[in-house]
Amino acid sequence: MKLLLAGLDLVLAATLLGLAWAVLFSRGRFRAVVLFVALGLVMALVWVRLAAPEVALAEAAIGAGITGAMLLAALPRPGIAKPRQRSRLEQVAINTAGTGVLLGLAGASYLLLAQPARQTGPGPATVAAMAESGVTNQVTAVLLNFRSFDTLLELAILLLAVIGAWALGRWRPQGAEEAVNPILLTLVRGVMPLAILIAGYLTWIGDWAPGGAFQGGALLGAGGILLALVGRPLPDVFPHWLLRLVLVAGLLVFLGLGALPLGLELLFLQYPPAIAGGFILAIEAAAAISIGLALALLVYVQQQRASSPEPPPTAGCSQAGSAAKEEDQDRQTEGGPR
Amino acid sequence: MNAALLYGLTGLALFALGFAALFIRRSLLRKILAINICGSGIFLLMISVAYDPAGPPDPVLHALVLTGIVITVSITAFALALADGESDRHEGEPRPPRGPGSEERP
Repeated sequence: MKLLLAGLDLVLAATLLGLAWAVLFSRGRFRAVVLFVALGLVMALVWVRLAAPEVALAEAAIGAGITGAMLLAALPRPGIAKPRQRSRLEQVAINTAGTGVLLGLAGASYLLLAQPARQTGPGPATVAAMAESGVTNQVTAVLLNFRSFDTLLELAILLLAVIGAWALGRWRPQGAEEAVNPILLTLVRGVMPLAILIAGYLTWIGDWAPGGAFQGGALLGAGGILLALVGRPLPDVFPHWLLRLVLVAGLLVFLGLGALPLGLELLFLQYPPAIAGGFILAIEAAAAISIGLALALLVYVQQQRASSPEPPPTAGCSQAGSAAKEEDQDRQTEGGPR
Repeated sequence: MNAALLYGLTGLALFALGFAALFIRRSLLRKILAINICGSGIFLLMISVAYDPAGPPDPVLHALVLTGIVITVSITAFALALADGESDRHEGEPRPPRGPGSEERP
């Protein structure tokens, strides 16, 4: 059994490295993006192996799923694969920096080998404070109670990314003129309620089992992307003021509930232990909806920009094909490893 | 060699691979993918440090990695949005033709 596990570890580690190499250095950018999604899924397996189910869920949904959709949507853009020219000085600087970093990494590897971690497992402070956290899942307790400032700012960064990405483009209603595959439409109609239900469930069980706002929100985001696939993207269906409100709602609820303890002579984000569970669930619910919308919008905006100025693209595939050629030229001129 | 060490070293190797590609590759798409792989390497290192074969893992690092995954997707989206605008400004060349001849690749 031990041998089997060791074999599995070796195979997983080798697959990760091989896939990463292929993502970065193989020909054709369509292939690179598809392999990147595969890398995310193998990564999720590794997270499960390392007893990190929350991270596995988030990696599979966000790291592989949403990022993959985003990259695929951006793929038809011509500007994204153009090689950049580089001066000789730049090349020397890059080589020097690269050598330095490799030496640093060698040092890090040595430290990892020579100095095993002194204390593993949950820290004593975390274990001691669990009773006051209001939840029993340690990761959720850290994420939304002990270190909730991190999570608050993370939501702010996600919001900033949406604002920034959308500021660079403009929403063009897609219109209903495009024919939608009726089978896909029926499928999405059936799947959407289930996706929303499961997203709610994932968010809700986060208090005591693997799950939480990010995993639930990612599922909602995936639902939003499905809607765009059948020609019903959210900005076409809902008024924009409502979308903007929902987008900031997560952050506002988080800030509001975080400031509430100030009135009870506690600190910012210091929830009263007796009702901390309710605070966390409320924040998670609001955050999940905002995260879902933010992720869906981040994917939409890539698609919009891909199809922006000129006649609407006929098929994503043909453009990806021409892009692959472009990048092949890039590789011939650069003479990098093959 | 235990699992935590193996995955920790794999994480470092992933980081090195991504970091090298960030400088070697010259197309923006590969650079963005390289940043993502760098991040994955760091996450793998963190989770392998948190891993304890005998008991539950350290939740603080898990929470930090969860935060990191969402930050990574934000950065990726913003970088992709910026990549287009940047190339439009600096290289005002006509777009490559999207003719029927460019359809044989996937």
